[in-house]
Amino acid sequence: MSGDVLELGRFAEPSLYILVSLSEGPRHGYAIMVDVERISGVPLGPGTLYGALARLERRGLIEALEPEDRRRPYRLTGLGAATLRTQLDGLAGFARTGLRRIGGTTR
Amino acid sequence: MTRFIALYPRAWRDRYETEFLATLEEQPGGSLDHFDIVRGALDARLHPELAGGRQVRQRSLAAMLTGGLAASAGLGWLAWIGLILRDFRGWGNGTPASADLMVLLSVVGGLAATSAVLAIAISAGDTILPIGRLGAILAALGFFLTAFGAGMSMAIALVGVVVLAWSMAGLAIPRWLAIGWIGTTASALAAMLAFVAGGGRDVGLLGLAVPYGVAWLLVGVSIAIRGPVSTTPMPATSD
Repeated sequence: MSGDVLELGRFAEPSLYILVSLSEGPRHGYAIMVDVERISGVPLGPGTLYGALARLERRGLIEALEPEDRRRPYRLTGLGAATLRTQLDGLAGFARTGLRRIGGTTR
Repeated sequence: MTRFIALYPRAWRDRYETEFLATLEEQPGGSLDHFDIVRGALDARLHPELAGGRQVRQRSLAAMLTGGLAASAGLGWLAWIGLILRDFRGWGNGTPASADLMVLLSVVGGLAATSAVLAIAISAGDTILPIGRLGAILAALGFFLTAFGAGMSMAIALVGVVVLAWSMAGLAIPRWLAIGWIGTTASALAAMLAFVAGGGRDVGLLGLAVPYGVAWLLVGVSIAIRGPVSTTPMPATSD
């Protein structure tokens, strides 16, 4: 079981958004879609959402909770939280490097 | 938009359909979402393990193989009948140039049909009615004998198809297709009997057997698209 979200091909970016969304607490499918669009500005289609959820669940990064009515909430697992932190640290370092370089060229 | 859910494999629907439909109801979506769902269905078919582990993948492969065999039987039958309608001029009017090809297609189509119904019987296990397995074996026997020239054995195949299609209706194949499969098999048998009774002169009668090949094609496509014949739910994250 690999925790590297970047291995998920076209689902890598949606998966990262979903992990960030779930880091605030359990959410079901539609709530994840709304939250992802709010925090990233990127609309998440239902097919992509469930493709990513299935991959994250299979990798043990999220887990399904008992259904509420017909909606099933998902939450981050411990592995999912650790993976998200690693990914965000990496992205933060990448962003700092990029900002430093672009800052250097514009001076 | 909800009708697109039918494009997903059965194992995926067993696991996600209810919550997926609930999500779609809350988010009506537009044409981009339609495209996204179709693309998601294609992805789910390419990665059946996502909905339930290795066992689901094996079942999906079995369904694809079974569907492929059934579709091959349909294509073989259509090609066989097509050659007969084109080249055969009735008994006693000389051997057509495509006679060897006709025999070959007859054997290939018959063996494909035999293999398909046996594969259904083996893989359907816990889904089709037990009597359906008996029907599959009977149908396999009928198709096998038919492939090697015993046209009357189509009667055995018809009995087998009636039992098998009845037990599969609404599961691996829709009800209308089950009825069509039975009807076209009966039509093919009637056409062959009428052809023989007429002294093998009216080749056009065999045109009545064309829908039978189409029915086999549709049965194959249906089995392949609907996914595994078995509906036993798989655990979501097992591997």
